[in-house]
Amino acid sequence: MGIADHILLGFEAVLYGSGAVSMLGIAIPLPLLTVLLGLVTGIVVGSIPGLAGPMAMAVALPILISIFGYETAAFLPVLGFLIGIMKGATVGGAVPAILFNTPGTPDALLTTLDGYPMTKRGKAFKALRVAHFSSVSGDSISDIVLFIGAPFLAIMVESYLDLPEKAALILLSLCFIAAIVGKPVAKGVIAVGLGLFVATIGTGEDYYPRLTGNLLELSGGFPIACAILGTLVIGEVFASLYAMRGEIAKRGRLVRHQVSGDNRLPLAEKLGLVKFILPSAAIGTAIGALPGIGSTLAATLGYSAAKRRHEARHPQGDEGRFGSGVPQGVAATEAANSAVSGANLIPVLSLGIPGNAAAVFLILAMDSINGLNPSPGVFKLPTSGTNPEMVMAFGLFTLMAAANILNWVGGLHVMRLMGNMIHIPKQILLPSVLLVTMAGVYVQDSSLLALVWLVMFGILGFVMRLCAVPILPFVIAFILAGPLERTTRQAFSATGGDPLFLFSSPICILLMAGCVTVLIYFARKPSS
Amino acid sequence: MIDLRTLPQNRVLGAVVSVLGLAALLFWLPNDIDSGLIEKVRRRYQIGDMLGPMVALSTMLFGGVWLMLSKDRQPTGGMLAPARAIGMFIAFITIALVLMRWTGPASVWLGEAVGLIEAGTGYRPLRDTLPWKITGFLAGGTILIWTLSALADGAWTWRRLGIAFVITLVTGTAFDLPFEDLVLPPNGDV
Repeated sequence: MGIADHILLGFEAVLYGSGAVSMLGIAIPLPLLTVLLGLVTGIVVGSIPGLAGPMAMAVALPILISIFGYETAAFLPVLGFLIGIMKGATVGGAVPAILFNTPGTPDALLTTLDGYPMTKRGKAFKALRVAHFSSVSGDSISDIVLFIGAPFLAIMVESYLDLPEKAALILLSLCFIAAIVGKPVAKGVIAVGLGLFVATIGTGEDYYPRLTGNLLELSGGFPIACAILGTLVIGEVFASLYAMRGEIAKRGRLVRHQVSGDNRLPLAEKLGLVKFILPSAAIGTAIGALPGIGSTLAATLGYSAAKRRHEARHPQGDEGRFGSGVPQGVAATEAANSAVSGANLIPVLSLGIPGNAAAVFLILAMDSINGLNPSPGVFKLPTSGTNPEMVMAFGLFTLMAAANILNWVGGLHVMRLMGNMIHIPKQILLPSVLLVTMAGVYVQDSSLLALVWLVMFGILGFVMRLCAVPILPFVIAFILAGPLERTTRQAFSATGGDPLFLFSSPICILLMAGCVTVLIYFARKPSS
Repeated sequence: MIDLRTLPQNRVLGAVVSVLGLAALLFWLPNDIDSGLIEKVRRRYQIGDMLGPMVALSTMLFGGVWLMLSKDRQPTGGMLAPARAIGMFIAFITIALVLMRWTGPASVWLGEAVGLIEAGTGYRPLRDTLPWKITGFLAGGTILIWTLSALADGAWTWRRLGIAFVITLVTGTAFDLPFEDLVLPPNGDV
């Protein structure tokens, strides 16, 4: 069967593969329903300052697994919900940025520069329309690049890389993430080392589980959900609560501005924004494809590039200046930060390497549920019959496209509704997130010990934040430790026990040289 | 005597990581892993269980030494406030977990004592029935939200306690009502 057949089967898997729910006599495929629910959840979460998409994905994942199980039929509904959250949170972050000058997510910070001045002039709904239009456009463009880029990259990797090269590639991604996120790079290296080390505890091939010190509770290693949710989510909850002490009293009340005048966004104005959206989407997509570079940088670069272009064309400021409340500023920022989310999945689906926190939870979901084990082999065409993993991958692409369509159609209405729902105090919200996460982990593991591990990793995440040691390299190293050790063992055996197997081919040498180069390059580069 | 607070923070962190990494390499690994770096099994060489942790710790050690040698003038500052915060987080969460674990069984025991429940029933047969199945979660969850939120803004009020109770009740209901198979803490353990 060819690629076209697999695409068709992926589409069919979404429609018929996971059951349906009857609503008003109409059968709605379960994956599409979960995408819709995830999208709404994501917009709600993105609209609440202090919460973020990955946090909601973290809380949702164990609950979804408990509801749908681990079988292949659960794959698309669970992933659909998570993808919905990822996309919804990106667009939802603009709501408080525009209405209250408070970014819902860090990457919406630059949206405040032009979005809030528009609100003060009574153009809040127009700003929301611009943000929605640009965000969904950027996201859709990025997804198209993903649909084409991920299979292409995977086929290239599968054709040219053998076991030693794959081990070297994992090492390169770890070096890259350490170098790019670590400020200074040495802290990124420490985080990678720690992540690899923690992942080795309780695992291995000997009869005795290594590094457990005779503790039976550690004989299966640390539960992956506890390690990841603990450091990423609980650590963030602790850090935010700690930072909040004493600061609450200083905060002022939110000011609500009245909407006035024409707030529509006519087609001609939309078309005028396209020339700002396209370059920003290209910047966001390029940045998103590289592991570890966040959407905040994409938004900054997209905004700066658009501002330069706008000022060059209108030096007299006849169409308004960036920062004074021009729709072009909102469009450039939102298109860039939303374009990151789709492209971020290119290394996930083609190589199994997560590039950001949201991708970590998608990998975690894929790791837990049968259906797709992200690796270059996913897009390998079989000599006969079908490749079920490729079918699932195209099912995933179908869900992403469905999420975009739903976002185009209804996202703006949910965004407008969310304007009234962001007044939940952060000091109450964060402990509630902690409780929901604990409940979520418990329903999956049914053990109070899992909660103890969760809190311990939360403390580790808090200490790492206090010491400014980045969390993402730790988490990604924890996830990649297993594949790295497995590939290394296989490569060593396959090369007949050659101790220099990581330098056994020109590609290997190139990848290993890349490891050294990125570390040195980013270490020499002054951090901004 | 050297004041730790005035030392550059990155160098202190680098030194701590290096010492811990080296100690683990020299003492923990050799005593807790049976196989070596490379082993000969059935006449073939293969990688032993020691290699993975050794590479990981060497990476940490390398990062620690690199950090120690970095240019850094920012002082470490006081460590008392973060240490106190960690202590409080652990204390409050421990209290919440203890309440979560024992409130259900304790309330059943109390129910038996006052004659509400037949003597000798115990918590286990009742852990899937209301109100017993949610008692522990309600008690622990309420205290968790109340204490941690009050730690942030100092609002140790009855109103906040009430809000914490309502949030916990809504959370518990959201898990318990629609999904029959989901087990709230501590009902999977007792």
